[in-house]
Amino acid sequence: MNDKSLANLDPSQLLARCRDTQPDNSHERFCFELFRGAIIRQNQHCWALIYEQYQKLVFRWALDVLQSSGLAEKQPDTFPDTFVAEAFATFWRAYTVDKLESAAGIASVLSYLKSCVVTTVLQARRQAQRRLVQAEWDENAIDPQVTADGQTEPEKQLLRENYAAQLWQLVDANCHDEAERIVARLSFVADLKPHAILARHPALFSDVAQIYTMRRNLKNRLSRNDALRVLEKEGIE
Amino acid sequence: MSKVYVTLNDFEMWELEAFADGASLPHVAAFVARHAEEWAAWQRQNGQTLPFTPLLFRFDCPTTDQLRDYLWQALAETPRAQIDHHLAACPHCSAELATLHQLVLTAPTTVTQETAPQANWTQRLQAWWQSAADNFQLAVAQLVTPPPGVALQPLRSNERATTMLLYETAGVDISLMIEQDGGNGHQLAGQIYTVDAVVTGTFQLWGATPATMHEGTLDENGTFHIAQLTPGNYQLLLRLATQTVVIPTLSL
Repeated sequence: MNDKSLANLDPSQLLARCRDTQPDNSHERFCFELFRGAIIRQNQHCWALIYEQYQKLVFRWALDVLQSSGLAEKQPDTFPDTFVAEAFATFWRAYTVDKLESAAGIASVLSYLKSCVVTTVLQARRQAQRRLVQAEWDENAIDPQVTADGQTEPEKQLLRENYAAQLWQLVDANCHDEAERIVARLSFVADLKPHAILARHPALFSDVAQIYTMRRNLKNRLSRNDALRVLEKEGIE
Repeated sequence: MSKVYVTLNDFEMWELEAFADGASLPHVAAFVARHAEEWAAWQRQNGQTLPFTPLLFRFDCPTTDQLRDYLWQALAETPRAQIDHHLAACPHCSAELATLHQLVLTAPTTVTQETAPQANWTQRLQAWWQSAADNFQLAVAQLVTPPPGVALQPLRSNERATTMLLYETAGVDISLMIEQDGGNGHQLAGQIYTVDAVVTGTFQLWGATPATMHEGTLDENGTFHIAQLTPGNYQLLLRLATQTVVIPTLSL
C-alpha cells in the first residue's frame, strides 16, 4: 500500500491497522499516517483517534516523569492526568508540519510527544519551586505591589519579567567583581545556598565562609542603593 | 579545649547564617536549643532577605518549550547560542535539560502496560497509580452539529457572523458559540451540559500561533466566555468534576 492509498483510508481504518501489531512493524505506517492526517490534513477525527490511541501511554509517561522529577514526592496530590491533556495540547501546538515531514517514523513522533510530557511536568515543577521561594522569602504576596489589576496572566508575566530584568541590571551594576557577580546570580536568581555555590566554583572561592561574607556585603550594599529603593517603591507601572 | 559559647556573638557570623540556611552545625544547634529567644531576635535582625529577590528567581530562564526545541535542535543559531550561554550559568536549566535528555533520548520511547514502577515507590502508591492508569480516560468530544465535513455557514445576527457548534462525548454535551466581536477579533462562549444538576470545572483554551492560553472557572450555569481572540487554531480543555474533556481542534 503506497502513501497515497494510505491517505485515502478512513481514520477509523487507520486506527484499526495501527493497533494490529505486526512482528515486522508494518503497522507503524498506519499509526504514522494518523499523525499525518491530524497535522498535515488537520483532520479532527484523526486528532480524536490519536488521543484515544496514545492517552494511556502518555499517562504512564507522565507517571514516570513525575516520579523521576521528584514532583510526585513534593506534591503528592499532583495527579498525572493533569498533565496528559496539557502534554497533548503542547504537542498539538509545537509539532508542526515541517517537524512531521522530517520525522523518521512513528518512534520519532512519539519521542517528541514524550518530550512534551517531560516539559509539561518540568513547567509544573518550576511553578512549584517559584511558589516555595516566594513563600519562604516574602510572607506577603508580592504580585499585588508589582502588577496592576485588569491584566491577563501573560501580560502580568511579561511585566514581572521586565521588572525583574531591571532589578537584575541594578544588582549586576553593584557587583564589584566577577566573584560577586557569581554569588549574586546564584544566590538571588538561582536561589542556591553558599555550600552549593562553593561546589560549583571550588577554584573561585576558598571556603563557604568567604561566600557568606560576600553575600552579606552584597545585601548590605544593595539595601542602601537608592536606585533600587526607587524601583522597588515604583513597582511595575 | 573546646570553645565556650556564651552569646551568639561568640560565633562567626557565617556560622549563624549557614545554620539559618539549614546547614548542620551541631555546636550552633546546641546553643540555639538553649537560647531560643536570643536566636529568634537574631533571625529578626539578620534573617530578612531583600524584598525584591523573589522576583529575580529564574527570571531569565528559557521556557521549557524553548528547552525542548533546544533538545530537538529546532532553534535558529541566535536563540540556540543564547541558551548555550544561559546553560553555562544556570544549574536549574542544566538539570532540566539533562532530565529531558535522559527521559526522552536515552529511555525507551514506548512503555508497555506491564512496565514495572521504580523500586522506591511504596506498594500502596504503586497500586493506587496502577489503578489510576487503568481507569484513566481523557474524553475526546466529537463535533455533532454541523456534521464534520460540512462547511460552516455563519448565521447572521445583528450584523455579526455567529457560528454555533455542538460537541458531545460520553455524558457531556458542549455547545459553543463563536462570534465576531468587531474588527478581526472573535469571542467564544460555551456551555457544558452533564447529567449532574450543577456543572463545576475549569476551562483552558490553548492557541497554536501565537502560543496563547486563556483559562478560567465555569460559572454556576456551566458556562464560560472568552473575548478578543485572534483568528487561528485552538484546543479546548475542560476539567470537569468527573473527567477531563478535550476538543482537539477548534478553528476561529
